[in-house]
Amino acid sequence: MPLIEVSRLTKVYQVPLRQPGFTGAALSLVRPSYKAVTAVDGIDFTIQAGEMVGYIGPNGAGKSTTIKLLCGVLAPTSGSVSVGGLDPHRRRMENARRIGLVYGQRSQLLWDLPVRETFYLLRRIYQVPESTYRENLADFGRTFEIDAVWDTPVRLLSLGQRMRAELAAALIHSPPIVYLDEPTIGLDVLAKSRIREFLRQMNRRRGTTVILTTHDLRDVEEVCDRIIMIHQGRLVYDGALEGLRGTFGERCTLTLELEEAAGGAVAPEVALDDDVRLIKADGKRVELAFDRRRISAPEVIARACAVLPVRDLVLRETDLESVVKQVYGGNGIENGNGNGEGRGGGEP
Amino acid sequence: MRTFGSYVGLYLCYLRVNWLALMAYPTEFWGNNLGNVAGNLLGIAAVGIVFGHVRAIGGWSFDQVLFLYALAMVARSLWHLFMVNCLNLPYYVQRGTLDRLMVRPVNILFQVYADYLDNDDWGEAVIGLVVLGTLSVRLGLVGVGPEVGLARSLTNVLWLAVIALSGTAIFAAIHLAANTTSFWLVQAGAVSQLVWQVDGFSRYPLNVYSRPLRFVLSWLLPFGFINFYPAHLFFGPSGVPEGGGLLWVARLTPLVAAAAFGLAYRFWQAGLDHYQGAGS
Ligand SMILES: Nc1ncnc2c1ncn2[C@@H]1O[C@H](COP(=O)(O)OP(=O)(O)O)[C@@H](O)[C@H]1O
Ligand SMILES: [Mg+2]
Repeated sequence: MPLIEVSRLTKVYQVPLRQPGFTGAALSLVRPSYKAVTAVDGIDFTIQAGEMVGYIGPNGAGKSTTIKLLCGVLAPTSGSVSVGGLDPHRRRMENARRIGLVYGQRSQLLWDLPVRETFYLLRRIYQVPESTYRENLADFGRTFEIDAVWDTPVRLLSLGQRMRAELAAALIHSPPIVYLDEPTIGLDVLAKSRIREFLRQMNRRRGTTVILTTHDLRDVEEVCDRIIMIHQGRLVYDGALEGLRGTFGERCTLTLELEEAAGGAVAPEVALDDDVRLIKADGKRVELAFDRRRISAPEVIARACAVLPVRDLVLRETDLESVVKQVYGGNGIENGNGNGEGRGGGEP
Repeated sequence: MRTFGSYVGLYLCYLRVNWLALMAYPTEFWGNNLGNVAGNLLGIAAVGIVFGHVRAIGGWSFDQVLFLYALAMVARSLWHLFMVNCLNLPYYVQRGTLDRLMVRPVNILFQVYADYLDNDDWGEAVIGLVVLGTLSVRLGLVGVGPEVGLARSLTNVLWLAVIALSGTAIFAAIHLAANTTSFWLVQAGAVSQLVWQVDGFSRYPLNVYSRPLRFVLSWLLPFGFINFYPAHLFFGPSGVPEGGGLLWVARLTPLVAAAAFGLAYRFWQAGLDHYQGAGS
């Protein structure tokens, strides 16, 4: 039996409308009016114990909403969620014992107090046995250097230190399932890679199931075996990372601005082989994508300048938004099933 | 399942955390409490000023009105000292911070109460207890001599404790219900403010108010069961303006308190089902 089963899951928010002025305020007390926002729209997937899943999609796609539904914070508008055989909203307390939750933007640490106080309190909250507590602290102490900040008030920690303490706090009760909602947001490269390394280790050693939402392509590349991608509340891809290799691999985009609009005809000459792919060519703008591990940026630029009248250029890392756009606009949900070896698939 | 004992242990841990946080800003603590003492002394002085002009209010003597006043103070301060954070519910709901409490294996309302104690109302608690004690002796409810009797003293002390705790539960119920509206209303703060205004009426005996207002204060926002009705337990039929007829209502006080809190709790649970969190 899968650990997590989500079927036809839908969440519609009722957003209260503020009417202007005093009479508006009075009126909204008597007869409030609402606008419906569908954040999650008929999603299906199942997750087995021990999987590491990247739950990705652009801003506002419905990732956080899904996490809240899985945690039991929100009740579904329709459809169902089952985590370890329980309805997480109805059986909130039992579900809460076996999950750990990390929000990148919100802290659960006691702001004015030394780090240790949060751990004392969480130990009580989760009724963690003495031996487990000691073991976990020793474990995190090594990986996250909790010992070093044990007596430091939380408000004096650096963002990286705080995030590590945050992770340790969420894991102190050894939860078999861990949800992370944009945990690496705002962290530097080193801090990010440490967190990724820890998640992989934890999964390997304890078999922890990890569900991670993120904006950072590296998070999913390095941590997740499987990707679930959503867009506007709908599932657009569910499958192995390999299925998205084509789009993920092209980590760089080169945008060229040309002297004259002749570019469109010449551009294919630059994208002669598999290393460089032409994404778009309209008028004076040409967009190329390439994999930096296979061909260096200067080489691509040199190649382009040799055949095209380049006036200006912009080089940037491919971000998740454009990957999603490619999947979605290409052979995503609109044109059939999610691509790759889709497990749940999108809409029929 | 969590046992009662584990909740006690957890509560002590929360108390520790709250006190440590408070001690991080000691001047704020002392400032707030001195202000609180001054405010409460002024409130009592105001009753004295009124009685400089009249001999009774609605048939109640100065000592009796002060007794009612102190009874409400004790109940209000107990609520304030341990449950004041439910006034912040609108923020928890609008900012989505309730999420954090909902993913923990602990009763959510317990966490709301324990999450933050402002410790600002010790003045009201102490002054209320002192005034209540003094007046209980002066009004002959409690005493060591033969004129009151040990049995009667003990009975009255016991009833006073029951009434104070019932009053605490009624304050808790009213404020919980008022702030639970924030699950549906953006302007829940206004509802809560209104309830605070109504609390002001509990300072004087209900029989001075018009019938509709008295009905509201008895059965909708049952502030009357904090002091007015239960007072009939102590003064005897000849000692109260409306005679012994309300004695049976007075005896219902603990039941009314339990029912009020039960209803408010159901409403709160309905609110939780309606909770939507906040957009990120
Ligand atoms: N509490 C809420 N009330 C109303 N609308 C919300 C709420 N939370 C999220 N939304 C809306 O639902 C959609 C999905 O949001 P969210 O799940 O936070 O997306 P993501 O985490 O992928 O950025 C967005 O349009 C957002 O504005
Ligand atoms: Mg989000």
